[in-house]
Amino acid sequence: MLLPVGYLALRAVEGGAEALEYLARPRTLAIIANSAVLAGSVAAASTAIGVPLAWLTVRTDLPGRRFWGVAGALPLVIPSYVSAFALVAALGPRGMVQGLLEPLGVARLPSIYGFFGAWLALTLSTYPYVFLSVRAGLKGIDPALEEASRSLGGSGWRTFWRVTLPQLRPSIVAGALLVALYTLSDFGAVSIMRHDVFTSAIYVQYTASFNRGLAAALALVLVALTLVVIWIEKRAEGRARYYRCGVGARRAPKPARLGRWRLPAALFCGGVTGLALVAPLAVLAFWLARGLAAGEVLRDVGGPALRSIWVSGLAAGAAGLLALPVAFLAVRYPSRLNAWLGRLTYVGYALPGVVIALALVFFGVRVAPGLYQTVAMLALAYVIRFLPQSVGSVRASLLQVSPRLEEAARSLGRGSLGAFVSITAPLVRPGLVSGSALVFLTAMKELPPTLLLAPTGYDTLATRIWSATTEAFYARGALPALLLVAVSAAALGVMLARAQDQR
Amino acid sequence: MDKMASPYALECRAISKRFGAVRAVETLSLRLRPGAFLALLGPSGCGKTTLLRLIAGFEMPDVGAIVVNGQAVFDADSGLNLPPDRRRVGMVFQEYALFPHMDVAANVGYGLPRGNGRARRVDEALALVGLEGLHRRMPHELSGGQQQRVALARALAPRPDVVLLDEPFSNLDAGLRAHVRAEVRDILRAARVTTVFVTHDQEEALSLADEVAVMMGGRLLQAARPDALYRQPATREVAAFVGEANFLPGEADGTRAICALGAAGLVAHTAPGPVEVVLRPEDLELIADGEGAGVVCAREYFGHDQLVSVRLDDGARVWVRLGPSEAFAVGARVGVRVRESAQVQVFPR
Repeated sequence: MLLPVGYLALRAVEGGAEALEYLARPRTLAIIANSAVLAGSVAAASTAIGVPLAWLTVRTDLPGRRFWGVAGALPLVIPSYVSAFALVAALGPRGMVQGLLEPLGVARLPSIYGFFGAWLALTLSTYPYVFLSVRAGLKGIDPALEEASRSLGGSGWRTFWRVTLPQLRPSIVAGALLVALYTLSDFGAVSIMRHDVFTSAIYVQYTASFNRGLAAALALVLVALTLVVIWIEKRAEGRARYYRCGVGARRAPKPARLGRWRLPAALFCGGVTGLALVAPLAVLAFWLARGLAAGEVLRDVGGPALRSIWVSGLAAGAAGLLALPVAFLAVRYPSRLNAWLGRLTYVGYALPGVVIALALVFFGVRVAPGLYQTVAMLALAYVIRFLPQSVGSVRASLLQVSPRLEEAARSLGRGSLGAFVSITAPLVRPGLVSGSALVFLTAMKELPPTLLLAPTGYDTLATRIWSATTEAFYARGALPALLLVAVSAAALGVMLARAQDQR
Repeated sequence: MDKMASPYALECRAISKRFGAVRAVETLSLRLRPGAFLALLGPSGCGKTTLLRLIAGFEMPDVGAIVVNGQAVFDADSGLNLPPDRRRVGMVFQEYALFPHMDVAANVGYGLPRGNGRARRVDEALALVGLEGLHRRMPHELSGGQQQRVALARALAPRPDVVLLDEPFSNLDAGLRAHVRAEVRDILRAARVTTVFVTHDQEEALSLADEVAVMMGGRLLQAARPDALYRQPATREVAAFVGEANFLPGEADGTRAICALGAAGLVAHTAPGPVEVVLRPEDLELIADGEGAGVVCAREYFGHDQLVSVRLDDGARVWVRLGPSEAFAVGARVGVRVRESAQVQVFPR
């Protein structure tokens, strides 16, 4: 697990003075600024959408608030590069809108590329993180506190600003940081939008330049930036627990009356859902229909789909096999070493996919040329990136298996391996299966390792969308994009089912 | 394995176990004859569950030796430490630990070798606990009492030399408990298996077991028949822990003990001298006497009897057990005296 970071450091050091010099160049500083600004503005916009949406769907008499509650979270199923693809396919050159307007004499639309496009695509696909976090926070607030404020003479507004919002701060911060983290590590949306941030710069540096040490140096800076965000997030998380109220008052609070604000509120919810969910799907459907009419779409989707399934399946199987012993050691024998082993597997979370991919490229070229540009190497990248998901899942179900069960098996004459095979393994199987399913589904969506590590000509659904956008053959990307949305929906379903099990 | 001729089903020889600075079990020795039914009684945290886990092999003692049915299963000196699966010691866990993914028959048959005998032994074990015909039920489809009996059948099926039960009745509600207790005892008697069960409930220990071992602070204070434990406690702690006891200063003169409330016979010969007299509430009686030496300050009425607390004029407080029909109002002045029939234990002062 430490291998990627170690290799990056090694390559960066080899780059030596040149790498340092490169890092100090104005262009690098601009990239740092771009990344920070993008992460900050996406987080801010997500908060501006997520917080009111959460409040409206949890605490008001908004008509159909249950429906909006589900619809508001659904954009999670659209990977950010798919929403970027949809944006470009709608508003880009030779896109849907321009095609519709052409008869009216509109030859050029304002460019969608650059900061604005990246910001819009990322905001629309990440605001659900804030939305869900704040919803959970709102549901955890003790309504008695607000009632206390009202009984002390505070108006509705005053109560919201002085009592409700401060209690929500930890969930808002946690959600916003998650969005920032996602934005920093995102590669697909920014490179489709041709916006110069770390991940896209690393890719360009890697593909266009002979000095790959520079790419490594950039990647290390990105890792440092990511670690800072994670560190802040961990601290915010600790506070959140502190803020949460006890199990005492669990009454549902009285919903706030919207009165004449009901219509604007409903329009807001409809607008957000329309932009983030309906519009992208409609664009994809449009191009799919267009392609079907031209008779060229269905060709060539089977191959990438099968390749996506095969390599993701490999990764899911390997992650499952690795997760079982790691989780078992961490839960049953919580020594310091095992705790570190468990934590080490979480390194993948801190590493953007493009960084892991780059590190494995170096590793492959230098140490294991036999592995370089093989499916196994690609699967390894997925495993490093997504092992935390399967370890977490197995760990959660293992925690529910009482050690007494294993002891009972021992006292009935089974050895420790026999007890593990006959009792523990069957009982954690659901966790193992859902963890592997999650790895499978997220690996199918993952773009950068596939771009950097796949054998030549080995295109998957994800790379197919990417190349369709860069070459402006939108009809070719529509079906893979819709398939990936379906895959993401399945991943979300697995996660929700697991959350239900743990309740 | 060194097989020794031993008349005991279970022997613990001076075993100790520490967790960090905590002495969970301290130089503890214990012997059980085959078929014995021992209650391990003590307050929570006294080390009784640890002792059970040492015997079963889930924890390793620091020193000492454990012998099951003449075969050493642990010996600190020789470094012998048989794993739990080779000790022939069955265990019934507090929360039963039924395997949730197996039905009743699979749970009970888990410890049995594969083969023709397995199904028959499962039937026998289920018949023993009175659960014939529930083979295909899953654990979550059983009531608490049934789950416990399945756990018992599962532990008994491989015919272990010793069965250990950890707080076996604590998970049952009060109404069910008395009934299940008697049932479990009858099952274990019928199986003629040597049994150790852990409890913090003295009533449970005294009413069920042939022999009660009192543990406190990791030490075994006394192991005796229930009546001997109550009437002739070995130490002041045992006297205070098992049943209610009043402690009054007095003098022993060889055959009798004399204290402020009167004189009583001794349960055992004691050297003459100053002593602390253990007076059980039923050793005392109250007399309606406006000039008496005490005032009734509380009364707990149980139906079959009652406990009355009296504050004596010298400041001491004593509990007196009375029949159900005697009525002394709180605040009434009364006389307290030792019953003529009383036989008491004393400890040198």
